[in-house]
Amino acid sequence: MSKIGIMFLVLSIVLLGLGFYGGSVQMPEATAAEAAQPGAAAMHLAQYSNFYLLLGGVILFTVLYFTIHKRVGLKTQHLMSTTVRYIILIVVGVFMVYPLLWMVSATFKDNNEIFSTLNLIPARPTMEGYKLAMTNYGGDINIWSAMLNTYKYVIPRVIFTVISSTITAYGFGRFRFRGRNALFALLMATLFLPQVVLNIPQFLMYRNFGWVDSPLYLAMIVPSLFAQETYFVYMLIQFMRNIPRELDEAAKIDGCNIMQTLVLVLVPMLWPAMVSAGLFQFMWSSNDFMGPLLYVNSPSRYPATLFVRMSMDADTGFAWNRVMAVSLISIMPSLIVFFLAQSQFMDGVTAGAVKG
Amino acid sequence: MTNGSSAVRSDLRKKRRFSKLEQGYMGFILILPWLIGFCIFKLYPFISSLIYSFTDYDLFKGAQNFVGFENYIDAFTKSKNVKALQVTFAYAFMTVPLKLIFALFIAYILNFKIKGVGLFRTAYYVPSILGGSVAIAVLWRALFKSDGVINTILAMLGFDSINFLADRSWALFIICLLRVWQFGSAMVLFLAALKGVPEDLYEAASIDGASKSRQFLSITIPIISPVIFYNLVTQLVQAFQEFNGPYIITNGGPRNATTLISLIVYNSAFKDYKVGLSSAMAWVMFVITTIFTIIAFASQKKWVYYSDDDGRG
Repeated sequence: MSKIGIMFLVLSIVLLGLGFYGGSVQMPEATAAEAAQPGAAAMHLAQYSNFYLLLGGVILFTVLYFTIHKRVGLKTQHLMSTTVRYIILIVVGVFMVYPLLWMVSATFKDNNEIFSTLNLIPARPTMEGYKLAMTNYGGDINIWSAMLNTYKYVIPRVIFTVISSTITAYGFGRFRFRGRNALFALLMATLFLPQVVLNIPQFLMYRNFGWVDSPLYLAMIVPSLFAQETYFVYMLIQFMRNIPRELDEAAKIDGCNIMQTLVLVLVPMLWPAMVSAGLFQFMWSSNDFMGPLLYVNSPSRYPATLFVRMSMDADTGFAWNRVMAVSLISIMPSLIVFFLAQSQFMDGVTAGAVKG
Repeated sequence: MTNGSSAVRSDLRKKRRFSKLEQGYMGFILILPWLIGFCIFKLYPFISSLIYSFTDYDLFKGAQNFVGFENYIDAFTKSKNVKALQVTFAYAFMTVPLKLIFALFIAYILNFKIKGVGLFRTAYYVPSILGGSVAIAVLWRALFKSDGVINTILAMLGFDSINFLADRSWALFIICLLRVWQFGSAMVLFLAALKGVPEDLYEAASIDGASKSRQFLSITIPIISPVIFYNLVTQLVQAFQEFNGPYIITNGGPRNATTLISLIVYNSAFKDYKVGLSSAMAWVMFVITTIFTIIAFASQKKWVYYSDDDGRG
């Protein structure tokens, strides 16, 4: 064992010793002032004992791992590496998933319990959070109408985006025309155009059009008719490249016109990519906060994102189970869609043109 | 794919491939809706925001006078705006490398023959899909508030509680953490790229006695460099635009410690009604993002390796 290895081994044993000692120190009762007070060092150890145990344990594990790893046969080495990989994956997995599970469990706890324990199983399960979430805040909006409002623009937006992006991708992917390359460069450039630069003039323009606070959410829906989300156009063009042109030609020989070729030949092949685009648009539009913040003013037209924020401002400090229940309900459709269509999401990401 | 002998034939086919209609106006008609939308929803706002940035346009009064570079001078001299620039840089330079390194590290581990790879991948990906939502921002507040979940854990380890969101040095870090937590989409991309690295390269390298870390640096990194590049550019562009996290969790506070440029853009237009200043800040941000994108693209030749059949990008 190298010198450094021995040093760390000693360190870990000292830390563990301190931790165990700290754990055994009796903290004095506040009233028993005359009883023998433990010294300052002992008090310190008692306070931090868990920390020392954790740190010592991790260091000891690491030292032992590297020491043993060098000395054993290939088969054992392999087993050890695999074990460590799983440990890392599980620890990271806990960091990823615990907050979400905690959120779910918080909706079933009463407000005294939420922040007093890390347990995921509520000690006194209650539906209070959900009951409160159903009641409204005195305005003319509650979580259900907010959810309804959200999907009033999310669903048209998804449909329009998929259709308009497919047509645009078809035009760029399968046709030659004057200025095609310049326009394609322009399309690609908009991939890198930050929305923030456009927000204010867009707001002023939509205000002139009368789209701000429109009951039909025109400001959120109309641009999707014009294939303005370049990511999807790009993604569909990439997919279209892999569909052999011979298919188009065969369709043409069979007498299909251009739109028939698209609908009857290309769309069935492109379908997985179109579904991916639709799913991502569904997620992003449901999560969209900036759009509603700018273009929806009346509380009765609030979508879920604005409603959640409003309930957070109203309840922070006392009714956390209510806030958590409202938040969870608001992301439930997205979660369900995600779990039903996981593989399409992964394929969509790897199709090469997706933010996130 | 096309070798020499069939090159002529494919050239002939290419000519035949486009009928008159296809070469003429039909494609243009198909992309026309996009082009119209582009002019109305992208080009016009893009140019008008540049024009507004040289005026004192007021959101409600509407009157605009040309003020020259005054707004830009404000952007680089007013302490609040300068602070926002610094914070935005800090945010981008903390989140982008952390997110990429973490995503690559986890993808690397997942690429060993791990049982339940699908389960892990899903678990890591869920935060990416939900991360931008208001609900998660609310959750973040619950986790990091002064008596929140993280402080409960700290208390178990014996530490005093930290008021993360009210502490100027912690608040930005917590906002960054929310973004790093969403490393899943970058990871899925890395994982797909790692799966595409030919196995025999590693075998050849280990016969030559190259260590695992050596193989990673000399084989894995060059081969997946196009994906690293793609992730780098998209993450940079997004990091410079981040709005939801700081707006909902800390609202730019405490004392502007988490006020990113996007918040200044929003606040000066919709709270102070100063469209001119807001547009100038947006343009400063646009120029910064563009410079970084150009740097990334220019440096591409130095470190991004495209194999022959992938060179078309």
